[in-house]
Amino acid sequence: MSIPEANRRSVLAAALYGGGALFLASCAAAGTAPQSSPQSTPPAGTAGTAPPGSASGPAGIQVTDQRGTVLSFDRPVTRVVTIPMPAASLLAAVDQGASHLAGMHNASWVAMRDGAMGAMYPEALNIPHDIATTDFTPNVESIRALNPDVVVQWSDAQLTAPLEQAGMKVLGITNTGTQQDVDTWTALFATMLGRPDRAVQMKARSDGQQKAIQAEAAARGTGGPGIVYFNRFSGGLKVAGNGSYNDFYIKLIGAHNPATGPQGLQGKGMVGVDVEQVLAWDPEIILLGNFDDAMPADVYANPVWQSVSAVRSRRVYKVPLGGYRWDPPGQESPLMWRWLTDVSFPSGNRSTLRNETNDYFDFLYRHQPSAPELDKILWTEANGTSANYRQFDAS
Amino acid sequence: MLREAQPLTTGPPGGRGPGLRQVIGPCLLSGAVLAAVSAVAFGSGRYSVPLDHVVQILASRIVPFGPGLPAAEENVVLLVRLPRVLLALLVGGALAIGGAALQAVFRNPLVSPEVIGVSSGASFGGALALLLGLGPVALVGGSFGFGLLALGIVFLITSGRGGAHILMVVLGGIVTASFFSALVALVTYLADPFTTLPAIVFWLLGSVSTATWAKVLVALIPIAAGGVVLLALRWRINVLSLGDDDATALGLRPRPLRWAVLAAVALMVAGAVAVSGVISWVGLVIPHLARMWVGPDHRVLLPVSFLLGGAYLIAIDTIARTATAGEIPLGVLTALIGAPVFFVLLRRNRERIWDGA
Repeated sequence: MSIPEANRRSVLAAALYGGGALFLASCAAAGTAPQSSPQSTPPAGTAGTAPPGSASGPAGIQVTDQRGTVLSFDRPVTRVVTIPMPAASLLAAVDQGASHLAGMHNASWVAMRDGAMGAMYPEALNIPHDIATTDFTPNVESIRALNPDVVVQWSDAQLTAPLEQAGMKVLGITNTGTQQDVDTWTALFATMLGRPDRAVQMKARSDGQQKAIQAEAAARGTGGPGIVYFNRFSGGLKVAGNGSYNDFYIKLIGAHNPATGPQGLQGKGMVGVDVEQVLAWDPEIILLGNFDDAMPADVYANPVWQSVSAVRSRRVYKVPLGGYRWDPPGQESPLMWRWLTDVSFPSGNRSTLRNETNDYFDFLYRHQPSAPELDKILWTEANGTSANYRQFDAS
Repeated sequence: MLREAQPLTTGPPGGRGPGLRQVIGPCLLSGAVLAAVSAVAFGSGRYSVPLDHVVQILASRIVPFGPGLPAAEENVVLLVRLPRVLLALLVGGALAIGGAALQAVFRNPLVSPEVIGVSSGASFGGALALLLGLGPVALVGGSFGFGLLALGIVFLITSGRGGAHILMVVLGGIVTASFFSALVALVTYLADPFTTLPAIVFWLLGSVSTATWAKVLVALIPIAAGGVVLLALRWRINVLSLGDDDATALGLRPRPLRWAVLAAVALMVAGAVAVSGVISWVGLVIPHLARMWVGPDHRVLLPVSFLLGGAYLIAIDTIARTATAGEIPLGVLTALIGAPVFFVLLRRNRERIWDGA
C-alpha cells in the first residue's frame, strides 16, 4: 500500500467517523505550520529537484529531509522513534542492529514479531510501540516520554506539526513507491546515525544487483511472461497498476504486467479489479503479496481460476517475507529481483538465492539465517507445490 | 417544523384489497424487468463470452446438450457471473423489501435500514469478526446480532404513546448509527493498517465482487426466512402502518407484531450486510419508486420492492464490474445514483411525504 492510499483511507475514516477532530487539527496545522519548522529553509533552486542532502563534519551533522527541512545534530543520534511502517526495519539494516531504535509504530512491531527481524533481534520486541494510531497520527506525549533525538514521520504537516510543536526534531519522509525512496531514506538514516559509509555501501550493492538483473533481462530479449501481482486476493482483488513498485520490478526482470499493458487499468498504485478482467489477461505467473493471508493453495483450489495459465502451469507464488515484506520497496529489494528472476526464468539448476540471502542478510543485519529461517522467508512450504520452486530447497 | 407523516396506506386495510390480478400483474412486470436486467448482466463482463454461449451454458445445467464449450467460459458464467447476479438479487431485494416494511412499521417514509442504525450495527458486528479473524460464520452471526441490537435500541428510543414520531425516529437512528459508527471507528483504529484494515474498509464500502455459491447460500437462508415472514405478514403490515390505536381496534396486537417485522428485517439486512458490506440507498429509493407505481398496499408493494430492488442492484453491479477495467465499489455507485434519484422523488412528491409542509 502506498502512503497516499493510506492517507486517503485515514481522511475517509476521519470524515466518516467524526471528522470534526481532523478538521480542527488541519485548521490548527495550517495556522501554525510556518512556526513549526523554523529550520525550513531549503536552498533556493534545489528543493523539489535535487535529492535531499546530508552532510556531516566537525560542527555536527546536518540532514535535509524530504520536506526540505534542515535538521542539525551535535552528535550522531542514538534514540530514534519511527512511525512510518518500513522505517524501523530499514533503520535496523542501516545500523546493523536495533539498539538505537527507541520506539516504533505498532504495525512495524507486529511485522518484526511475525517476520525474520524478530528472530534476528529479539530484543527489538521489547521496544515501545504504542506511539501512534493506525493512520500514523502520533501520540505526542508517549513519544516525548521516550526522549528521542529524532522522530521519523511521513511528510504530512498534520502528522509532523504536533511533534515539532512539542519541541521534537522530525525527519519527514515521503513515499512515491520507487527504489529512489529507499536510497534516500537510507542516506538520511545513515547520516543521522553517523554512518554515511553504510548508505554508500548499500546503494552500491543495490545498484550492482539492479544492473546485473537488467543485463540478464537484456540478454534474454523480449517475450517474458505476463505477471500479475495481487496486493489483495482475499475479500476482493487488488493488483499492482501503473506507478507501482511491483510494476517496476516485473519489468526490470524482463517480464510484463498485463495490468499496465494495452488492456490495463486506469488507476495508479494498487487498483481494485474484477475477476473476469484477470481471467481475460490470463497471466502466466501470479504473485500473492504479504498484505493478506492468501496462499497458492487457495488459488489452486478455487475452481474460478482453473482456466488461468498461471494455475494450469502451477506458477502461483507467495512473495517472500524477510526482515520486511519483499513486495514494496525496501532494503531487501535486490533479493526480490533475484527471486522473481529465478521463478520467472527457471534455469533448471538450483538457485543461488539461499546463499545470496545469507550473504545479504549478513551485510544488512550481521545475521545469517538458518535453513529453517530461510525456508520461512522464501515460503518454501506454501510454494512447495508450485512449479520450479524446488530450486530453492535447502539441499 | 417536522410533522408526523401520513399513514402509508389508504382504504380499509383489513377489507377487500386488490384482486389476484392486481397483485400478479405488477409482480409479473417486475419479474420481467428483473429477467431483462439479469440477461444483460449475464451477457456483460470483461471476459468476452458470446451471448449464445451464455444461454447454452446456463441451459446445459438443466438439459445437457450439444458439444461442451471452453471451460474458461463455463467458469466465468457459472462461477463468476451467476453467483454474483444471484447475490445482487438477494441483497438488493432484501434491502428494498426491508426498507418498505420499516417505512410502514415506523409510519415514516424516510426510514431505511441505514437511517435507523441496523446497517451500522451490522457493520460493527462484521468488522469485529474481521478484526478478530473469526471466519464467515462469525461474520454473519456478528452482523445479525448487532444489527438486531441496533434495531432494538432504536425501537426502545422511539416507542411510546402516539407511535413513532418522525423526529424521534430520526434522532433514535442518528444516536444508534453514531454509536455503532464510533465502534466501527474503534475497530479500524485497532486493525493492522496494512493487513486487516484494508479488508475491513473494502467490506464496509460494499461489494458483491467476492460472490461465491457459498455466500449465496449464506445470504439466501436469512433473507428467505425474513422475506417469508414479511410476505406472510403483508396485510398486517398494512394495518400497522395506520398506527397502534387503529391496529388494536382492528384486533391486532401491535407491539409483538412490530417486533416480528423488525426481527425479520434485521435478519434480512444482517444477511445482506454479511455478504456484501454496507450498500446504502437501495432500501430508501426502491420502496419509493415501487410505491409510486403500485401504491401503498404492502400486499403488492413488498414483492414488487423485492423484485425491483434485486433488478436495481444487479444493474448497478453490472456497471460496477464492466464500466472500467477496475472494480468500482458498489456502495459508492448506489449512493451516487441513489441520492439524486431520491432528491427528484422528494421534489415530485413532497406533498405526499411531508403532509403539506
